[in-house]
Amino acid sequence: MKKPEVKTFDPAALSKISDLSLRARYVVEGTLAGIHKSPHKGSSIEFLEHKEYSPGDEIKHIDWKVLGRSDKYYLKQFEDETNLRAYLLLDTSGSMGYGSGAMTKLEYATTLAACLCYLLLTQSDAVGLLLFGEGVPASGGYIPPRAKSNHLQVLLGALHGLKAQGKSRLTHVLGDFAERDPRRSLIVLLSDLFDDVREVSSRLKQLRQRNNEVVLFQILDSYELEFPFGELTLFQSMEDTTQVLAEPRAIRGAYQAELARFLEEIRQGCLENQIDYWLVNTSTPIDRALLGYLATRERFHQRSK
Amino acid sequence: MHLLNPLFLLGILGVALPVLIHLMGRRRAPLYHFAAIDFILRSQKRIEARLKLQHLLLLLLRAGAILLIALALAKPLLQERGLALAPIGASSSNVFIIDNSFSMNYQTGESTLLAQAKARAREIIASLSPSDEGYVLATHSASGGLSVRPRRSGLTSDRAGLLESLDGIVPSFYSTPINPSLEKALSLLNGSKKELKRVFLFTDLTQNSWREPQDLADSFKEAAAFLHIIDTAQGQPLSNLAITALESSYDWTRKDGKVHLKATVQNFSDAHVRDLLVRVRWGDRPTTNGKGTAQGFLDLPPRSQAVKEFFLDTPGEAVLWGCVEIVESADGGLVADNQRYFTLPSVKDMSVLVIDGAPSIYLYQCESFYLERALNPARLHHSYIKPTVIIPKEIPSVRFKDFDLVILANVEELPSQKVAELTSYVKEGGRVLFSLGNNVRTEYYNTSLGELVPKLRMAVESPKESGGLSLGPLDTSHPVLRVFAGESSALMGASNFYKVFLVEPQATGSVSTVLSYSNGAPALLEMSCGKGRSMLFTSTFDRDWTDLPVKPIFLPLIQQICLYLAGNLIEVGPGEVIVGQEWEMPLFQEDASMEVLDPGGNLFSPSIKSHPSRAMVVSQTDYPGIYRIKRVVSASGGPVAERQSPVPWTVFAVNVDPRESDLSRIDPAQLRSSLGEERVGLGPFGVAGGTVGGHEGLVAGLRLWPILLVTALGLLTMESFVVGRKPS
Repeated sequence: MKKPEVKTFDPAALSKISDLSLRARYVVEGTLAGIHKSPHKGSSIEFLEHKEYSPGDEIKHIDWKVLGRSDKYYLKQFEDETNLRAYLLLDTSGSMGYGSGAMTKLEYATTLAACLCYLLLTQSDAVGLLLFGEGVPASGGYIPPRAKSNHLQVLLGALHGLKAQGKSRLTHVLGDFAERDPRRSLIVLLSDLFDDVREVSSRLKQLRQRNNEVVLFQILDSYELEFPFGELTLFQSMEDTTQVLAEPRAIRGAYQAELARFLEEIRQGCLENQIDYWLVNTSTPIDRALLGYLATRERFHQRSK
Repeated sequence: MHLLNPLFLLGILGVALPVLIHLMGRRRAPLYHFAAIDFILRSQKRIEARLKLQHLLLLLLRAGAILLIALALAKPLLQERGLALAPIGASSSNVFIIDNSFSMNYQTGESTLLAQAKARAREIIASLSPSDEGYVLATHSASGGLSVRPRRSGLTSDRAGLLESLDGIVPSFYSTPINPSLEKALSLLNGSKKELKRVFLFTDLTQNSWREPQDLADSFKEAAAFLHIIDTAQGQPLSNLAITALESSYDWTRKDGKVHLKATVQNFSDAHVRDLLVRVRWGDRPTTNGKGTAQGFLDLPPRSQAVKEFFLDTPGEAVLWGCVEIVESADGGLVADNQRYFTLPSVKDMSVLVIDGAPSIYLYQCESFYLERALNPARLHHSYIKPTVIIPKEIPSVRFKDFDLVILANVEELPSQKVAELTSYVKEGGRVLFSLGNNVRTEYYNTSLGELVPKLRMAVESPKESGGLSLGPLDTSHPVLRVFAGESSALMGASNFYKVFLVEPQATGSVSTVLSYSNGAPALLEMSCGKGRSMLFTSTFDRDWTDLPVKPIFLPLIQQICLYLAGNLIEVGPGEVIVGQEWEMPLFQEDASMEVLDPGGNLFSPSIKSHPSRAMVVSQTDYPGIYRIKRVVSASGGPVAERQSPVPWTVFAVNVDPRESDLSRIDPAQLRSSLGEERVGLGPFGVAGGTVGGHEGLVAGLRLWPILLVTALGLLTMESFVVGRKPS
């Protein structure tokens, strides 16, 4: 398998991030849920339930006590006691393909996702990936969370070469995702959220209600934020055939008002549902985005002690 | 309303331009893929109504500006009532009248009103089409007529010729009425067959030019002509300061005999003039702080006049002339009336031999006592007469030719060889004055001195009790008596004569009476004798027969007689002459050709008239200033020495008409009423309009295009404002 190309991996940023591990935030969670350690290998496992032995199963997990009592072969099934189970939900809809600078929103999000994968896996957190967008094939859009070190390549491979296409169907994905894994997880959503804000908020609320930790990275381009256009322009949608002729100078104020209202609605929704919300401008260096997020999480964790 | 450039109305089609540009803009709008298109849609919807309104407003403003600009370029003119315009392409006959009267020398800025009038006329003439005719005339020309050099016989299409005629118009110092020019113009246009006939009058609209208003309305109507009056003063009042009157004389009531100048200065403005400098200038010299000059200051409230008087010593020169001038602090204005010229008789040094026929050991009883003091009063009066007094015994020792004048005062007789010498002296150009008295024997004078004196008759007495005789009415036309015109003439009648000599009636010819007594008997007679002259006073120069010697008039009379006889009297013609008026001076000497030098440097000969009496006439008085007259040829045909002399034989002063100094303007309504309202256009200089050839400035009317252009500019400014404004 061809190794995926890591686009932006800033080792300096990563070393900083390792001081501010996600683990710190979840130490609290871990105290409630159990003891969290940060081993690199070997992990303490927690007995979950018995399963009848089938040929091919690992014999090291045979519960000898049960054999002595019942003269039947049962396997112990354990819950891996990891630091975190994280899902990265990456929007690959057509709107994510816009970019006025060096990176499109998708490229930025992909790179940010890769950083998160690396950090999380370094800390033996399980990381899964869900790509959504009309351009994503059903089979290649979901990667279950694993903590193995070689899982990074799998993730990076899935992140590599993504094309922004079609509509996002974000609300559908979020709704569907809530049913996918009932276990408490860290859900990181990377999207521009150009969808029905209320529906999105509702779905995110549902995720929170299942006790998931939700982090929202809303990724926007600086041109989308500032709308710096001048002359009369025919704007074409990137998700469908919609076109509109507009005089940017005339509508700039109204556009920015609409955008501000949209962003405020999202921010308010996240605030109400205790969702970490980050508005990221693609002109912002990724390590700054991560550091800012981690610092805020560190402060949050310190306040929680 | 009339459109001067109607073709530009096609520009109204440009109203469609904003729409076309908008449509083309839409087609050329660049395609841009943008993710947040929903926000564009929402924002457009949000401000849809305001955006539509803004677009509509912009369209209206731009279309409106284009429409106004197109209209402005078409040059609409709101024409004055009654003035018809010929269709474009029609030909016209035009007469251009340039007012070159004295007031048009008024200077505004860098040029005079006349120069500005000519420039404006030049523009209009240059704009005439080849089929148009024209004629240029001035209200006054050097030739005295109305046409200008080069003379044109009538209307012409020769544009170059018209411009040449225009250039030939020079400023004048005349006060000329306008009406004759208008009549001349109408007579020219009456013969024209052109569709449009116009008279262009360039004038400053001062009241003086319209002193004799004449109803020409019917004349204009009959000629089917229009009058366009271009006000060179552009409606602005013209302020002026001027010396409007000047009296100059010797003040004989004063013993010092100073020159008395009395200048009237008028303020024709609404400004209060303070410390106006008024000064006297002698001859051609600039004023100095020396003898004979003076200056003073006047304070003149608005629209007022003041009098400045000067009492001056004469500067000690042979010919007295000068001017009184005001010095204005402001630049520009009318300067030609800032000075007024005057002339006064003066004297040259002369030696006089006085033969005292009745000397006495008592000085005051000497025949020559009063005479000598009158001739040279020393400190009391400035005189250039140097008398030498002798008694009869000394006669053989003198030579008459050594003296300019010989006076025999009550001389009984002369030695025979001295009679011959005296007669020869006089015939060869000498001068002699006889006064009579108790020593005079009628028979001796009539025989021995009969060639030198008129025939005497007898001495008669007029008793003192009856008051005696006095000197009669003066004929101040004689050079001897000219200085006694005015107030001084009354002084003549104050003297009394108790005994006089009667003379025989004289045949007309060589003897003439200069002065008479109250009973008509001659008191002073003049007689020509060969090249010389003699005069006879029929009474005494002492107090034996008269009290004249003790009267104030005695001194100037004696001096005048002596100066005249000796030919040292610069004979000044009659008083002040206004520019354009004739100057006339009676001639009493033998024929001689004269030359006149005017202030403009022109040399010409005056005319001589014989009836009713012989006189020299100068009619070419075009310039203000001093006119110098010299005798150039004697009666015998030879040149006269004084031709080479810088000192003229006589001078006279010419001044501008003071009425022209008042630059009050005529009421336009009154003017139009007298000239015919339907056919008269009156406006500021360069008045708007356009007609044949599309040239503006030919017709009075309200120009609309500046208003339209300003409005268009306003619309474009609003458009910029609206474009810059965000509808959200």
